[in-house]
Amino acid sequence: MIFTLILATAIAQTPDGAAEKARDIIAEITTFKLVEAVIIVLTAYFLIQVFSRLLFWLSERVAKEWRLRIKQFVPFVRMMVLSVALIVLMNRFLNLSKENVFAITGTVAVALGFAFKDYVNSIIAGVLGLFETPYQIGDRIKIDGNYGEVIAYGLRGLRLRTPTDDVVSIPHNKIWTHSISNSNMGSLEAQIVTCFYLEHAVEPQRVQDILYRVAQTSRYTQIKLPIVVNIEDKVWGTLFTLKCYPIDARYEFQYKTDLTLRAKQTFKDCGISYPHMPVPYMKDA
Amino acid sequence: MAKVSSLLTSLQTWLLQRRRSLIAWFSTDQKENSLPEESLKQLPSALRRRLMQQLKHLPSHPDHADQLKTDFRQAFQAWHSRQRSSPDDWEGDHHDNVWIIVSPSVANLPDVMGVFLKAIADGDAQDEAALSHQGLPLQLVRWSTRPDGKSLSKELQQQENKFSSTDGRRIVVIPCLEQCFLRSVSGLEVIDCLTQDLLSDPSRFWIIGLGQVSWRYLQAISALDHYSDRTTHLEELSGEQLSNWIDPVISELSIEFQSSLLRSQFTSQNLDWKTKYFSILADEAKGVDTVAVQLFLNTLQVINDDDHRGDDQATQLNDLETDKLQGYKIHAKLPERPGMPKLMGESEYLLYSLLLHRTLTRQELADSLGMTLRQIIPWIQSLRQAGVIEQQGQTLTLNPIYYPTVCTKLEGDNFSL
Repeated sequence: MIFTLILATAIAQTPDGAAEKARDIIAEITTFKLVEAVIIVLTAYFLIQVFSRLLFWLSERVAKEWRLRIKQFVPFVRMMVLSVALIVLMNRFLNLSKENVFAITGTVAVALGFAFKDYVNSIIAGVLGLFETPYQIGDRIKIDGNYGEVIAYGLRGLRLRTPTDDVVSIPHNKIWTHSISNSNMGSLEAQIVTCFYLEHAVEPQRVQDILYRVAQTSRYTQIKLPIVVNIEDKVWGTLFTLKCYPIDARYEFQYKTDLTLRAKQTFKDCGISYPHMPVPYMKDA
Repeated sequence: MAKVSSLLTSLQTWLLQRRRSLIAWFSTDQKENSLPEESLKQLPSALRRRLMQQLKHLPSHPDHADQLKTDFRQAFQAWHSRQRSSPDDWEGDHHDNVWIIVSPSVANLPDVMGVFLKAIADGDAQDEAALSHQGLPLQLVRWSTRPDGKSLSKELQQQENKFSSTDGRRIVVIPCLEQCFLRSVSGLEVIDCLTQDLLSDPSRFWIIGLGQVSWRYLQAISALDHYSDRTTHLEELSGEQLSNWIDPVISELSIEFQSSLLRSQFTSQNLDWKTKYFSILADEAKGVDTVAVQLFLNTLQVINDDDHRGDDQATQLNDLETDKLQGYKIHAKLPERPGMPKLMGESEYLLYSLLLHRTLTRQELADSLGMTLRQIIPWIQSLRQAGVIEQQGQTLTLNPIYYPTVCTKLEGDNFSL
């Protein structure tokens, strides 16, 4: 109803010939056509749901190396079903002749320009995102202050699952204005950074050796990828940063926990102590 | 007209030749194919046990020992001649004194090494503790429990005191390196000790055996491959080699290979069924003897020779003693790998650990995974129930029949094998 009103308002603002044509098209809309449209929309929705569920189900049952590839196929399937549904609908209602397409695109463009500017902006960003791939399903990204795994790639936006198991919806148009950091870019591994805060008095070489061993012995570590230990001196102590990759980025947080557990146990066995941080420096840490 | 007639004749010939496989494709009545298999029954348990024992006690494949002998000659000669030509170079960095043997992670490498060592030993090779080669003592290093870095050096020192050569040189053999370390911070000390202190001693020639997964792991974490220019990978066994190896058991039980399943798969009349069977067996087992033995056992079925015997008699097969098998024949069906059961939790990490270490106690397994016993026991139980892992005494091992399936699964799951 609102859409028809907006369309009518838009028609009023367009040149006479085009407006007349558009009025004719609207006059041809019958109840039967509307029922047909509802059936087409429902079928498209049903197909999208079936394909998405099927692909997600399949992706969890094949070898992990195929998991992300299959999931990344979901947005394409959605786009295809939606495009087909849209073309069928337009053909039903607008009788897609050359003149009608010209008349309607101008009209719809004005209407959409007024009403759904941001929505269309997000849809266009989503379609471009499919090809530019700043993020795909299964990637671990940070966007607009939110970090997590991309679990859905919709028409308008994406859904992120955060470490606290919240699902955050973010519109695709953030691509235009925000920086996006992607940890794995479609691969199974993503670098994990774990920080260890120790006293100034510790032997850095020894701690470095221990941290290498900690990473090499964790069950989650992808051993064929590099392991790096960085050391940084702070006012309150020494910061050791262990950078390594898990076999499957899905286990990121379990991996971090495992690394911390192993390191803490070894530090305890070797008598390596933690810094006593003065309150003014807490912020720095 | 003549052309059409010749075409029809060749089509008829082709159809006759292909009739079996075509019937198999198009037949909707499954009984048509399965009828001859109906009288096949599982091996009686007593016979299966006896066969298992016989197959277990088969000496390791002689071709493996021959392969090792050839490669050993070259490796030993290189070390030996380097020392004779430039004794001053002993203190240099590169001594050419490490020879590494890599086998599939479920192959019985200690047995292969045992046969090989006896083959290269001087004189009477019965006493394992007094083995020597060209006058140099062959020091076999084995532990009942996993050692730490200190006990490795101590054990070596003790054995050195027992047997010594005139110039202090010796050959040290570690048949199964993965049983010397554990994937934990303290468990890797023995590898540090080995790579930092022991391998650099040029008076020792090291023969180190280990599984493929351990080799990959130690390459990644300790650059073990940089300590040796000479690495031998045990060759995969072909169908013919497997056939010759298992032949004594086949002859004893007069096992037949022309089962209806094989016949339906291959229509050529001139095919040697046994050759075809073992070629499939070698493929399915990835050329690993321990896997092939298990697959072979799984393919054996008893067929009732007398078709008129009733079902009751057939079902009594399980109670049959092995020496009362008259009237029955043993047939081999097509070898087939078992499928992978559904894994529970993070069980794939447990399977990787077992491939890495070959054998582990429950506590060692928990330590290598960085978990508690309470956390891993449900996984162990589930895998044992599915037959993927086996427990012998206190130690857990991967059931060899699942080795190819587990490898495929882990490779697909991004593990480095």
